[in-house]
Amino acid sequence: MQTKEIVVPTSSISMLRKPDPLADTQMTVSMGPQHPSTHGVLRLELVLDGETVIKAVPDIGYLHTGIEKTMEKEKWQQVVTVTCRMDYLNSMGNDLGYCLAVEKLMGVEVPRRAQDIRVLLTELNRLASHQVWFGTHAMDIGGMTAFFYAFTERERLLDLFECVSGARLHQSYFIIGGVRWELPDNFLSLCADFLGTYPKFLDECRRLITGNRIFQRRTKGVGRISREEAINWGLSGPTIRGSGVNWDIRKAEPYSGYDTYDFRVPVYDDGDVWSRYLVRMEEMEESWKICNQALERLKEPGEFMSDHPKLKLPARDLMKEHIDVMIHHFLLASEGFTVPIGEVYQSIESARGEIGFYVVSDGAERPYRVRVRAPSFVNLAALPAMVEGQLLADVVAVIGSIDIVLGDVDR
Amino acid sequence: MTIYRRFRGEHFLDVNEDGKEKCVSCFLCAAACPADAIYIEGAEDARSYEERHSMDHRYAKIYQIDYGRCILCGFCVDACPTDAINHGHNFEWAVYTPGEMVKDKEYLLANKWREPDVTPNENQRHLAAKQKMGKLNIILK
Repeated sequence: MQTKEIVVPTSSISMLRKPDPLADTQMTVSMGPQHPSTHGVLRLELVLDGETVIKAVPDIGYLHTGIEKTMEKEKWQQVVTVTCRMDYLNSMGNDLGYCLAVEKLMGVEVPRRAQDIRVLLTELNRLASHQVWFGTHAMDIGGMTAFFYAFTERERLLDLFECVSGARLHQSYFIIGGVRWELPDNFLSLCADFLGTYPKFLDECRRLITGNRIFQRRTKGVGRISREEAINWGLSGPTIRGSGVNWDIRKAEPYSGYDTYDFRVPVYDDGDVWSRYLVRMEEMEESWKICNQALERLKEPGEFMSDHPKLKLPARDLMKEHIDVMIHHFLLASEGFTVPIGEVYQSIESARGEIGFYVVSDGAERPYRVRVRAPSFVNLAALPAMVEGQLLADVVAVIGSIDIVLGDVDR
Repeated sequence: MTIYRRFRGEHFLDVNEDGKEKCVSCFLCAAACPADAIYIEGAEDARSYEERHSMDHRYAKIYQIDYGRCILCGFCVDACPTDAINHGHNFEWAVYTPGEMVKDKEYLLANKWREPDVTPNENQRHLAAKQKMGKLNIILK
């Protein structure tokens, strides 16, 4: 008798098994874009098995502003008004990166004092940015108090920015060739006051959060990314230094005279949220040291702006007296200046990592193309590798630890 | 409320010591504006210095700043060759309709007298009397 082979589809085999109601039940959760702990309008599509994250897909673009395209419409000197609006927590750093790129293309030498002003203000801005990170990161994990401490201190920093540039967030203080105005008379003493009390604040922060057992349990071993993976993902900033890679643009490719400052680059090896926390906390201390050194150098007088005739607006009293100077002023303010044909890449260490500006000039008074290598974008790309296999509640801890700014991700 | 002197708030249009508008409608602020927020229409005024609006024969017939576009970067102030446009210190400018965000020349001229450290002289007093808004409640440092 011929036996007939019975082909049983695999799906029905699993049906024959005793069903486990909890096995293989995957749920897709859309986290964001209005989720408060996504630091903006980030949407994460999470596939969950119970509370474990199986798959995470970041969905970006909610804050796309077309800034790179807007830059092509602006004149060279006007672009700083949009660069500071990308990564709005580290606006001075963005302006610095763009200005350095164009200065490199033009071959302009920036005076010593202008460089020191730039270093002081970018480091102060790094402090401000890290304080926002500190407050929100602790709040994501459940500690509300740290937020108030961090933001009170940040307010003092924003006051300093207001004093020096007239704006608290979008300063547009750095321009190509230097800075826009001389520092106000009282700025150095205000800054010294701030820096004098800053170690006390850092100490408070440490006592508040670092020794906290709940915070440590929520962060140690969470969101781990290995050294090799971190390098392969192209991470930068505190995120890669938390994975044991000593990579800091300030040391690797010094700009604005960072090689003459005495500071250390904190590196931790574990690659988890806790390591990244420790890196940023120590980085604030190092930034404080750089600020003190820069402040010491700024006590000597000097030029705040390159005397390149195309970059510096003429002195106002001369401009009002002489018609030729007036014509020069008109041409600079209305038509701007041209930049030699060429392409250049310049990167700096922002509070989030390596922010790079790839600037192409076709010899006109406007950039042909500006491409921004945004640190938040690259760091966010590694988020799935960090959170997959972790618990849902750890996702917010990991997002806080890579410290993304959605304005920087989407541009 | 204390505000730093350099704070870039709502603009004001300046007048000289005779109460004549400093703006001569050269369009340089509009050219320097990265956000295209400034709209000007210039005109000629052939009358004598005592009778005309501006300190020059040219004056701005229409001068509008659209605060829906303005990003308060201060490039117009840097560009102005006659120091006509300046940043004031007002920052309370919430409005109910988008149309109210466009401020005209009368408003911007009146804004000068709201500044806490500005006091009009004899020739400017009639201008200052025209505006209804009181002084800004701020202290400059």
